[in-house]
Amino acid sequence: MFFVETKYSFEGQHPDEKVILFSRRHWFVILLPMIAFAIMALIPLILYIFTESLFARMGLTSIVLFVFTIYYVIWWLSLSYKITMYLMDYWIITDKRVIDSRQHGFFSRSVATAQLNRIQDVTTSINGPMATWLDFGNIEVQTAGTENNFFFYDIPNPAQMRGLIMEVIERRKGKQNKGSYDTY
Amino acid sequence: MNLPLNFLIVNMNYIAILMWFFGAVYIGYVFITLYHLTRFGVGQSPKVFSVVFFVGSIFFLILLLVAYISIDFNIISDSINEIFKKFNMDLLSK
Repeated sequence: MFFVETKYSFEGQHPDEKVILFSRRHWFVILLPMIAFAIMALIPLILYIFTESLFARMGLTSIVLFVFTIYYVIWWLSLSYKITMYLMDYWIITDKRVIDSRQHGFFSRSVATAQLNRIQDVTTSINGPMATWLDFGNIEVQTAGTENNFFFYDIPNPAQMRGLIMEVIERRKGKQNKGSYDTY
Repeated sequence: MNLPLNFLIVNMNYIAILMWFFGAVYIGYVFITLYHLTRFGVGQSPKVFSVVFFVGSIFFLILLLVAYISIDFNIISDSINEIFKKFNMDLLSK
């Protein structure tokens, strides 16, 4: 399966499994690197404006433009790498389990799952003024036994998400499967 | 006995070889990124970004080729020689 079938279908999804919630990190996490990339994009332009006449006198305009083009190609690849890594980190809550998928780099990816009936508690933490203002933070999903706890980092609306996870768990535990879950 | 070793001295265009190498790395990198976005991406955003990235990569590749073709290497070597002469280091002119 190369392109996914529906909006939030994912690799390894069970046939009868329904995605209830899908989340990435908050956009603020990617905003600062994007500003840095925007500044980096302006550097060659500014340099060229100030040194154009000098390079023209030396007859090196074409090579300078070539070097700047290489710079922009590297810039483009670095920018795309950053965005790709942002898009590859995600958390999914289905009607059966919680999935934590994280991309650490190309060819380095970790996927962890926890069944809903193994989840004991969910706690949220919001640290810092920006996180408080923009309402994003971390969620810790505590699992039973020797299983590792799950951490959702920089999630938007953590309190709302915590409530939703708890609701899904309660529904699962109470076997209230008559109604259908809403997909967020 | 004198061995005919002058075949080792080949006037190779090292910049062109470097460009080919850079191009191969670039295409490989673009393929890996697109593969990750389409294979592991969940939701609409990775697919949309993969299209944007693909179009942008082609644009930058064309830009790079145009910039490479427009270089006049003779003018550059003359300019470098002049710079070296200015600093009394006419190493390249020998």
